[in-house]
Amino acid sequence: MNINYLLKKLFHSFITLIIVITINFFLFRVMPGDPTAMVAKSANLSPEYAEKLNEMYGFDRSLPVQYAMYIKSLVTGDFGMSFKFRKPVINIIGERIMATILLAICAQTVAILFGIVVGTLAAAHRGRKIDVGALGFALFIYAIPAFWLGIVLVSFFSVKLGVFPVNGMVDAGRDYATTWAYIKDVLHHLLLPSISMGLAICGGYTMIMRSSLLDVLTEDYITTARAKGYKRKDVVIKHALPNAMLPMVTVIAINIGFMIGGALQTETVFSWPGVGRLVYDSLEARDYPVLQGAFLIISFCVIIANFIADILYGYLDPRIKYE
Amino acid sequence: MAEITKKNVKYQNIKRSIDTFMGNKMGVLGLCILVFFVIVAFIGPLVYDFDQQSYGKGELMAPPTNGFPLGTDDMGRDILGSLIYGAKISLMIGIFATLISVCIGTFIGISSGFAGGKTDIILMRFTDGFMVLPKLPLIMILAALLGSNIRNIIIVLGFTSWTGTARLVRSQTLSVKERQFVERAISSGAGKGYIMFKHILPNVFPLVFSNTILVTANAILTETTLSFLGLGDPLTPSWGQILRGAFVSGAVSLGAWWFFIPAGLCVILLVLGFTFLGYSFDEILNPKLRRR
Amino acid sequence: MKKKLCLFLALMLIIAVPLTACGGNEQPTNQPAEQNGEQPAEKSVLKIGIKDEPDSLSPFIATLYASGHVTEKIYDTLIEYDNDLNPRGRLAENWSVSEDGLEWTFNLRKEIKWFDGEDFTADDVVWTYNTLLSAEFPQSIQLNGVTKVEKINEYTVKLYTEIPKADMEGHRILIMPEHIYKDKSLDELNTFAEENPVGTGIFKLVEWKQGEYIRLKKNENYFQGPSNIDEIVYVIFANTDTLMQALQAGEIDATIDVAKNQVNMLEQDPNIEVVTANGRNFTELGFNCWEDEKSLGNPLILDPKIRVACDYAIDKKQIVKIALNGFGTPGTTLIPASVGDWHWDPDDSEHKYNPQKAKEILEAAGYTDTDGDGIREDSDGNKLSFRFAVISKTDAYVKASGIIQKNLQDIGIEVVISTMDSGAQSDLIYEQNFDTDMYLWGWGCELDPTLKLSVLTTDQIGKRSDCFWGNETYDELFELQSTQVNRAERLETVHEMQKIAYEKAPYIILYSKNSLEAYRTDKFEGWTRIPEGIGTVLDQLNHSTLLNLKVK
Repeated sequence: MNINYLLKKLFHSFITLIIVITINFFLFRVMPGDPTAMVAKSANLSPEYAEKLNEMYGFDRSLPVQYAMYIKSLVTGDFGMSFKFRKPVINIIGERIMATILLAICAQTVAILFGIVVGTLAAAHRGRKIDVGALGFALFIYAIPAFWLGIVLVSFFSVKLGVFPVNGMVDAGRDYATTWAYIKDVLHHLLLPSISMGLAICGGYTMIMRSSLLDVLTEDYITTARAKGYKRKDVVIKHALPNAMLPMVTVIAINIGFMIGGALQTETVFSWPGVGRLVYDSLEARDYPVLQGAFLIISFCVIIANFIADILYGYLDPRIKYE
Repeated sequence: MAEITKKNVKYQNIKRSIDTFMGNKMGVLGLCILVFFVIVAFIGPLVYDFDQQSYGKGELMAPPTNGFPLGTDDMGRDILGSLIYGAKISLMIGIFATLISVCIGTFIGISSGFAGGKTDIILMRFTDGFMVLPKLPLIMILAALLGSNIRNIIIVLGFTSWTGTARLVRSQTLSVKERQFVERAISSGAGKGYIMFKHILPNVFPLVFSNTILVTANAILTETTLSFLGLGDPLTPSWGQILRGAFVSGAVSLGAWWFFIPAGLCVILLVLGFTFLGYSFDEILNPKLRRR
Repeated sequence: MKKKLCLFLALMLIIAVPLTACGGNEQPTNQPAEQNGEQPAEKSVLKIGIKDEPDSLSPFIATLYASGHVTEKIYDTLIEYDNDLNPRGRLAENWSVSEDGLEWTFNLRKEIKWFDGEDFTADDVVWTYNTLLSAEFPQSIQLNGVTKVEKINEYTVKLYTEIPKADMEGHRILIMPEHIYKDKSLDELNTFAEENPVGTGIFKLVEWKQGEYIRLKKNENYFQGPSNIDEIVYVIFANTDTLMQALQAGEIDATIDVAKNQVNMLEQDPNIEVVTANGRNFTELGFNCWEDEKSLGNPLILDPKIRVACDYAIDKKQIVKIALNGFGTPGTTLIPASVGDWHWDPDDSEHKYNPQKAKEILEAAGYTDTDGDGIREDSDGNKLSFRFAVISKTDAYVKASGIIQKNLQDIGIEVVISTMDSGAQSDLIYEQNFDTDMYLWGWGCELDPTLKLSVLTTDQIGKRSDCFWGNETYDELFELQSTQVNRAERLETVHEMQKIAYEKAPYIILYSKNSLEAYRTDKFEGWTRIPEGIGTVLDQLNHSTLLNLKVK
């Protein structure tokens, strides 16, 4: 891989990161409420201590100084203290992020598999009933609000049929005899939210898969292969599909970055203890440091994912010039 | 004479476009859905009597009966009436938010693409930075910050959804810029603003248009989500608000399907209408550019 | 092609790594200690569903209802109430008050131990009370009037008050261990998160998994006898709907957050019992009564006649029916009927729903609609148009505000609603010079009326008073009642105060909402209602349910 291309993309990501940090910084300085009062629910702090808190959070300095302090603490991995829980933000997010990643990966797997299969079928049968059906379904799914889909699934599978639990990631407070029992319980809780979230996003993948496969199918070498007498099915699967995967891979990479923020609706409906719900709860509690931290981490994931996507694209697509 | 021919050509062009569009079943279906909702939103209230303050008019959360074709909500109001009332709100939010978003996006996109150089780099990095921010949480924070009424929600939605348009417009501007007539205009000393408005904007517009329709669909979807999460205007019965009411009052557990199914379907249908339309415009106007 | 495949696999690997890491991280905390070897007898676990996560488990700083619910299991008060709501000792064996009513002596129970094995002594009580007296913690208000706390001997504590303190037996302060906190500064106490609380209570904290659950296990050495339940788990739900579903599915055994409109459905379930009890609380429509020139409110609302007209115009029965699904009582005066005879019943002078009367009052006071837009004006043409701040998260408030808006519109008063979160509302009132005219808020009530009466005193403006109303007679009567140790005399004063507040109407008391709890009957038995037969089973002033409950 060309080192210049890599460096250029790395530099771009870095600049984007700086911009995100800056937006993030200013966004939370304009929020209402007296931050010191929020840290200490008591109005009667000693003046010295209020000052100490001010110093800790930097409320009393000029904006540029606050900004510099903010950058400095970020570099050292300090995301501040939660107003509500009085614990370091990084710990709180750390406790939650795995739940979101687990959910997001399962949902993505559902969506990607669905997208590839249905998209391929649609493209291979362009213009026919399968195609129209698949396209219609993909657009329909895209139009459904994710939370609504969750509600409908819960009302059917959990309330009517009673086959899935309705809340959380595990049976709260249960002791597990074996690790396997624990994993089984998590999976049981995981299934419905990941299907719900997967369905909500699979429409996009189907569309991309379909259109990129259609693109490939019009290229010369496919026509040649057909002319050579290969079966249509073989041509699609062996020749066209691998090349059509190229845009899919990059889109997947980008999407993975967005997943953590995108899980918010599903997490709220299913009481899933992830970062999305943390953001929702923190907004109600006006826990700005947590919001700010979550924001930054989600954005950071997106930047990394974008970077990976760029690299992958540059690596996979021979048409991109590295100069 | 020449004038007439020119007009004729233009007319022919328009006619051809319309023919192409009518040939696209998906687009026609989308258009029909939209027309239906526009009629519901503007004629509906004249035909169907509904007062959004008619609290306790019926029993609370009662199933459909003669007086209430789609039952009542948790405040005893007629749900069909709320849905009709909500159609206007959803359309309004979608369209106004999109206007804001498209204006910002087009402005940034054209400026960036046309100016090039440092301006371009700065604007595009800024756009990237904005794009990377988690959108739903960002919208939630801004809505909470500004206070939740319809006007603020429109503003927030508009100001957070312009990035896609900006990028699209920029790339289109770059290609239009290379064309001869623009270069000629530049060399003849025309002002930058003039060129941007007179030459580039009309050429970017078709693309912006199909994009606009998709942005609208998204705005409607986001408003619904926002209302559902409790950040909408709770006393204005938009569709999202009805869904929130249903969820908060436990309609799902109670099996009060009339409370959350019709409202959900309305959202889906309207969004679908916009998506169908946008998607088919996209196919017609830029067969090369396929989108998600 | 191979290259591409490799890359794709590599990408999958990147995705998969956090997944495995996740498994590795989470399992150890959930590994049961008794995994190796003998299985212990089935533990009895009581699961209680809650909707709001506690903000803190430190009694000094926690403010939410859910927090109190948990901390009261971990820590103890000096006094509790018996099943008929008469005070009796908990950490205190008994107590006495001096002739002049200024000195209270508490004799403490001996042989009570903290979770860490240290003895509970007078030092703990003295330290807790002194700390609360030395700064304004949320709980400090309960010690209003107490001047000094003194240790007499290891198990005797004396409280001195400035004037007789009529509500002494009503205070509920959780005693914290001196030996753990004595070296902490006041400021640290104000801001720290208590992760490993050491109490004397009936249950101990095992773990708090934020966003998921709080787990308590029983204190085997509890002095009122250990509970028959081994563990309590508070399961935190993101919404009431899933909470209700979990109750029906048997995933939880009880809840303190029952969705009002699901009561009928729950009652049809043979395994679920719904408990409805009159709630000691009220929700009020508060007005901006601040007469200071800094106030940004509409000055017209300072006229009590308008406020009384509003009282007549608002259909409280409909509000109870719609906003509370009927689970509440329309309100009248400041101290609700559920508190007992402290409540003053206005009888004939009640401002019953009567829009006609409301209009007459406004007409008589010179507010008429001169320009025909449906909104009344005063003689200078200022419109009776008021801004109404409503907390959007509280469903009942939103519904009530819609009805109030319509009711007032009917008598020619325009109400402009803006919805916000509770933080924004308190900012409007306390930080931004009361930049609104009306708002909704609610209070919980104690068995003693002092605290709630204090809310409307001039002293509390900018503190706990949220309507910034002031009335000299009311203030004088407040001072008077807090010294009247003779109950009958005090009762009369308390009634007089409510009468004044009712006639000036800084608050319009809309309703008292019922306490709703629900529990499953198939797993545990021994649910006990306090007060007997009519009260609640979970939110209790003693440990009846926890001590009686056992697995069926």
